[in-house]
Amino acid sequence: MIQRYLRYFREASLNPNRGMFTFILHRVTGVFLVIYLFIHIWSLSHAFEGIAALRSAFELYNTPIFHIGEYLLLICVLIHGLNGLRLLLTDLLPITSKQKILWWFFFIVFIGIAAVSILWFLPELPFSITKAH
Amino acid sequence: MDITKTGVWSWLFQRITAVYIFIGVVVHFLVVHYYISVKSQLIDELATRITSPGWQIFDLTLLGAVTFHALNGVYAILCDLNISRRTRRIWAVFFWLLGIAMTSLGYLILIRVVQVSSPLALNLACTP
Repeated sequence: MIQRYLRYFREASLNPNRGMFTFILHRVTGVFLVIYLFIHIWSLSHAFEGIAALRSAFELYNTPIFHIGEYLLLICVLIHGLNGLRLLLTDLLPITSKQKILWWFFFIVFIGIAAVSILWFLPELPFSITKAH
Repeated sequence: MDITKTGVWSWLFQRITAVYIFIGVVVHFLVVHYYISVKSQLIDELATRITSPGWQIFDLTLLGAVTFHALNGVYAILCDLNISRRTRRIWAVFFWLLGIAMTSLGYLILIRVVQVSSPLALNLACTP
């Protein structure tokens, strides 16, 4: 079984190009998001203990480490979502010949949203530091 | 490669849920973060939003779609390892049970959140 996993990665390394790189990123971010989904549901289950428990659980997430983690989550969602949209477009529309332009288009969109959203997440950081103490 | 006929349906549903999740996650993210920065209290936003049936349906359908998409994605990764038909069947049953359990847990949480947040939402509405 482990050998199968190793072969999976070796096959990817034998054919290093942009498509293979995004394929691996898509899978890795996908697995990360599945793990996050389970944690997300589990953390919301504090609601069974009442509104105070849920509120204190949310307070825990208002700390610098979780805000940075939130930004990394956004990066994962962006990579997975935009790459998925790119796959859908190449599947549905006859634009196979324009694949490289499409890849660079989505790459620029990704960089743009990731850069702009830093401005969104940065103001929450000092706020959460003062809140924690 | 062993492509069965049932794989086509999960492929199609993976695409359909992908489109729905793309829109749904953008809405979810904007709603949560807009209200965090404005009110700095996620729980108040949740309490006022969750009492409306439209948002309840949105959250429940989004959870169902995300769970299917997530577990079907992991199943696809496992299938790419060329596992035997028997092993695949076992994983499929496991993922279906896990998905149903997780979605039901989410539904129970939503019911509970509605229960505990309705007096809170009432309080917010009454305060000037």
